[in-house]
Amino acid sequence: MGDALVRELMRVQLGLALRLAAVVAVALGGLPLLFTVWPAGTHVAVAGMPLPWLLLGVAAFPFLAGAGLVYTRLAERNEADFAALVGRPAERGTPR
Amino acid sequence: MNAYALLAIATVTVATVAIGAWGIRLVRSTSDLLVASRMVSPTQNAAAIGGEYLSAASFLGVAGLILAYGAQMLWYPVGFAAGYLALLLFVAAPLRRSGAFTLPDFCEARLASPRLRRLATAFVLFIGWFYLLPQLQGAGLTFQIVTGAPSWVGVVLVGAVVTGNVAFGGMRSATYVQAFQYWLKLTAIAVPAFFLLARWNDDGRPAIPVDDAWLAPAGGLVATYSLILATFLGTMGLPHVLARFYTNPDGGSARRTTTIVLGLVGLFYLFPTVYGVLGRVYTPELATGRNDTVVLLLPAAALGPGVAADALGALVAAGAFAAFLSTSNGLLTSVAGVLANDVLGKARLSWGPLTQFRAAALFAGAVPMGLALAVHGLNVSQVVGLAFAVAASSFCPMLVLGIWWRGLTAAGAAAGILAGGGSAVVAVLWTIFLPPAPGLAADLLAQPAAWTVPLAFAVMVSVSLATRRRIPGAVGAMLLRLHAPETLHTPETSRL
Repeated sequence: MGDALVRELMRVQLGLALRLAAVVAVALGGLPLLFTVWPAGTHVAVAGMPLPWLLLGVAAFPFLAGAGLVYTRLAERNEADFAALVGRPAERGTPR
Repeated sequence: MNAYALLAIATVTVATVAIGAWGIRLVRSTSDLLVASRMVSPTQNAAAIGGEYLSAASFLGVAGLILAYGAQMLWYPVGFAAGYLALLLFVAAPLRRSGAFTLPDFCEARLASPRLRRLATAFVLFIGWFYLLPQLQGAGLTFQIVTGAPSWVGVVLVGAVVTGNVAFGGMRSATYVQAFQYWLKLTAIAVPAFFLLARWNDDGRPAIPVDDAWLAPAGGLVATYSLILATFLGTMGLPHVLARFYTNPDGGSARRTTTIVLGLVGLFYLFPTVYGVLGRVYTPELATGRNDTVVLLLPAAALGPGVAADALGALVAAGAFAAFLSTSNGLLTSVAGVLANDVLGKARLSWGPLTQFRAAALFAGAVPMGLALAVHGLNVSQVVGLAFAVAASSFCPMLVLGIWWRGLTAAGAAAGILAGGGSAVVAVLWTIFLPPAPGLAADLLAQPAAWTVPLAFAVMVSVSLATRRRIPGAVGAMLLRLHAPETLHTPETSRL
């Protein structure tokens, strides 16, 4: 296997991880800033709960799990592409 | 004193010890563990990881902090869950493919430096002990509430049970026990929560006393972002988390398991908030007192005396015990393993490996017991948060750069761990043992990650660049092994 191929795989996988990390960092990491510049937002009620409580206490968890699911799908696809390029199948859970 | 609760605690403890003692006969080495792991489904394995991860901090501490300080403390559960996303994105599959069983193993495999390995060992011990401390504190607290005995009795009792279990039983192997502990903890926090919500509804939904500071999701921005950094990035550097990953047969399954873990811990973290919020109504006095007792005391306070309150009280007490038994077992096994292998093993003693491990376990258990008896009054989640800050400032940069950047050198990694992790250690010790510093310095010491994590990355990168002639020669083959799917591994990469 050529060094260049491994570099390419790493580049693609790191790019994917960084993009998803950026989405999560902005979506979750932006909340303290958002509610600091928009304090009235802490009193907005959605479904009977104050908005920050709904976002952080409930919505954050399925959001994180969903991000994990998306990443796993895409990372596996990248690996399958890499395996196809190298010419050997990437089967799941095959013992070495 | 709640007799049901005492019975529940005793049952959980005896069951854990018995299964630990039974497990040792089945599993004797890490290769047995690997073989066993192939029979465990990713869901079972994920439940085991969740069972080991959800500690006293999650079970008791989070609800208490929410009760006392409100929405800004929701960052603890969000961060504890998000830590697994960071682990998944940046390290899960490559770390499993590295074949490392401990963090010092990874240092040695990637950078081939015995000195770096010794430094990593020191940090594993520090993080492990400061993570064990709040578990034992939580045990003392729970025992005190259930029996009325002084809290040191619970600390000593649980410390002795866990130490003995690790030294003479061995829990590491018991994936099924840890998986069971996850479902027990989920049941123990969820079922009473539904009863509490029903009670609140029947009472005509009394208003929850709030103020602006309690409702707002950020106290100070620096402290909040520091906590976010520490928890998001600290999980991957916890000693007991990595060892559990070894039970995945390959990198791809490590990834799938982590995804399920994210779902399972996220499900759990929906519930502590219920206790924190309803505690404002039924146990308001705890907001200014020992807030981390709210999960244990709320069922009785809300439901009034009776069998229902006693039964739910017993359930949460059992869940709390499951929390610190499983986490302490995992942590102590990892700490004792590193201590036996990297400290006692280097001392040229004429002991056999089993004696060595037992001596290490006894010592590894005695240190946090001493700490738990000496330190009082800190919320269990806050102490755990400090351990996360140290992990995020030492092992996180080493793992991320080691996996994704071929330019990392042993000198760079060591300098970064010393600068970032060392600063975080000083901040932790200051926060726990010294009076609070004035002004902004107090925030920066109590939540150090905002400056120690960037410091660690910056030092690690710049020292590596300055020493780039010392990049390990086999780095290309190593990175191939970390990133290529196992089916593409050749005998050459597997032997690395």
